[in-house]
Amino acid sequence: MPLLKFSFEPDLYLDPITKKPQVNYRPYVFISLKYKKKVSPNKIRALVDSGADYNTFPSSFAKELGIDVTNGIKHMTTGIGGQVLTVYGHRLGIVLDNKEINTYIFFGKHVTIPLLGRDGFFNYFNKVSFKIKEKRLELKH
Amino acid sequence: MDKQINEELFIQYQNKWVLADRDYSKIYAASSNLEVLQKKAKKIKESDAVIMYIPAVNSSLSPCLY
Repeated sequence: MPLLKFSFEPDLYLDPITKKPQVNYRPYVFISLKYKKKVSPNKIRALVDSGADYNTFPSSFAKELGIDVTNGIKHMTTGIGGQVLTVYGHRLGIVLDNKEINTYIFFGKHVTIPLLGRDGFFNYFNKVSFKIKEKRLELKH
Repeated sequence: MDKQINEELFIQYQNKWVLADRDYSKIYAASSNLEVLQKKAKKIKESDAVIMYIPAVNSSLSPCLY
């Protein structure tokens, strides 16, 4: 069974005590979106988020591929702060490491960080491992 | 080995969308609006560059839909 390994990607944060910038490593992967024959022209950094129910992306990524966002499956989603957003689900491909996952992504106008969630991403793999100390994500088919 | 990031460069782009290279050393374009960034990216034609959101540096990340 193939095992895909990805190093965590760096983000910056300010140390609250020293106020100096530090690097925080997070489980991002670089993906492309594929809709019919169209593929997103640049890869997109998306966060692999075990707390997210579904794949949720900003609407602009759908519009770029010619998708009529509000024509999708209407759904409400609640953020960690309790805010409720309207998102629209569309079937399309997520290309990761030359492998395509045919799945659903919910697009919303007020979504910022692209999220890869449990239903639509995690469930395409037999095992998803966050190797925190090694700063590595492993996806096993 | 852990990936490195150009701290001095990237800290200027918090809360923005950027078109950057994969090794976090160069930013080709930036905008607080993703659609604007995508238009800039089309003109720049750096197909190996990636689109990413740079979160605020003074807060932790609990992304589930800001």
